[in-house]
Amino acid sequence: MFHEIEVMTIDSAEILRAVNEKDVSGWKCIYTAYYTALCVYANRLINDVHGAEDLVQEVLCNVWKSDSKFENVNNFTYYLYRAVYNQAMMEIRSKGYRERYARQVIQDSEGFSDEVFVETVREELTRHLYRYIDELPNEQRQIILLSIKGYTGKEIADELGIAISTVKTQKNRSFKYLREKLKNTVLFFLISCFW
Amino acid sequence: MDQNFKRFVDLFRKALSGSLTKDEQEEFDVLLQDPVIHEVYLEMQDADYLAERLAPYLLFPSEKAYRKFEHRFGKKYVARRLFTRWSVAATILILIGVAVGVQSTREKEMQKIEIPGNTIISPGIPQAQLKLADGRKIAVTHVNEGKINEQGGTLIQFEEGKLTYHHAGQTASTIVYNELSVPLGGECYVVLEDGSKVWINAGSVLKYPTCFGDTIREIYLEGEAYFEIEKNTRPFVVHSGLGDVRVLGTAFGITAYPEENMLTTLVSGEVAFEQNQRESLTITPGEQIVAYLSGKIERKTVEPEEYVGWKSGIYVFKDRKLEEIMLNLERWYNVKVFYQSQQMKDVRFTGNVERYNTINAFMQILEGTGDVKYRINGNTVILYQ
Repeated sequence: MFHEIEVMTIDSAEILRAVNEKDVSGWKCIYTAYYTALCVYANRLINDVHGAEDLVQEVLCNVWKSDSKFENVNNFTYYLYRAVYNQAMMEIRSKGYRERYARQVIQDSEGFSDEVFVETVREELTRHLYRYIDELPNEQRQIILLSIKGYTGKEIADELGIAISTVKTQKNRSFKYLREKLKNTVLFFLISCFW
Repeated sequence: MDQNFKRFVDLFRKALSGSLTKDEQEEFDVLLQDPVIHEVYLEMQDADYLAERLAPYLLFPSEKAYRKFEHRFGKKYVARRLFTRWSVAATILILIGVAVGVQSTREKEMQKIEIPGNTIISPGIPQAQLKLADGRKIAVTHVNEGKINEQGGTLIQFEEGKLTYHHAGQTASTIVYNELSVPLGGECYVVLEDGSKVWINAGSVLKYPTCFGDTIREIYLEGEAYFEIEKNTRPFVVHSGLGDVRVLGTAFGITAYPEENMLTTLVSGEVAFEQNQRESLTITPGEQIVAYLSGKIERKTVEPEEYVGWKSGIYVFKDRKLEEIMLNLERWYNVKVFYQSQQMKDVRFTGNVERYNTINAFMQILEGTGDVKYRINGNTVILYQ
């Protein structure tokens, strides 16, 4: 009999182990994998940088305290987005944040609204891209980081002492590499049991 | 819709990496008929969009947040148990540690202490590299104070943050130059052979003779410096990329960084500004000459403190664009500034700020105006609204 086929990434096994076994040092990889993206996501909702950090820290601490167990990493990922979203909506209501998703707060307690759903998909894809920047070859990584910091092609060329045409091709190549990595996150398949 | 979240993300990941199976491709094509989904698909392939989307990721490094988490849930129980038993001994040890440690670590801590979220960045320090006439390079820092060199009767000394040239006897028959390079995050104070004083700001290079000739005193500046020139029958000329400043005895500041307009601000005396030995323009105290990159020259009335205050340890900004203010900080604190939006660069600020304080103190004052918020991550200052 087939059970669900679980897609595992290289550190998804470690993430799952850390959360299910409550291993503090293992949680480092959870922070590395999720913290930044969740803060960005929260900040998009409540539009408050410091508030977003506090919110995400609280959500992660609550997961720890709740002794939650997860079957697979996708469930855990989804749970985190949901938790951040719910927390953000609560804070919008209680702290009166003025922002664009506020109107959807009450109508939707179970699922995401369509608009937030799409935004969550975007964030999740961006999160994966972000995690592979470190793997890029040195020059490509520098180009990507500088362009993220808002440098123009010319400024990057000046900063690194390379031709502006090189910046362009390397930048596109880097993002292509990151996109291809979206596939490589699917590293091995665990088939839980056949018997 | 959200029960499909995992499936959506999965299909997107495969589509973007070109690894959809035939069945999945069909499934994805159906999704793409939704214009919103189609837009996401296009966006995720656009390098500029992705760069913009990733920008806020730099605001939230995970390491410190994890340390807080670890601190909260990690060693608490162990620590508490140890504490009751060892508290007395620990208190004594801590007291000894404080007494011994305070002096030796204070300097280090100034550089290293971090508050949650922001790196603390200390102000610049006296430091420079001196290139002698024979090409040798010497680091000028507090660790190697004392006599540096003697060249053709000129003694070069570095003491108490001051680089001094002494010359005994007659003026030199052949002129040899030294070159003083002050890095970003540095400053240097030099007393030239004729007794003229020059305060050189971060990111600047000053080239001058170890001993002046007997007709004219000429030096070369790239960057920013404040001058107090000794009165003397020989004229003193500061050469710079966009023009020359000719003086007798006077105090003035020059800002002449590459690819920026050149500013000459007069505090006392009189100076004349010349371009290519053509017409000269004279200014009186409280006036400034702006030499634009375009070649145009303009005379302005200014508050000199605004342009030379740095020499006295204070930055004075009056109705200045954020971008201009941050340019000063980039040099003095050796940081890179990143703006969340281009419009922010034009927001104007007025205020006096201490030069010898951390950049964090500076930024807190800016933040206090409510017009800008900041983050410091490593040596990057991120500004947002």
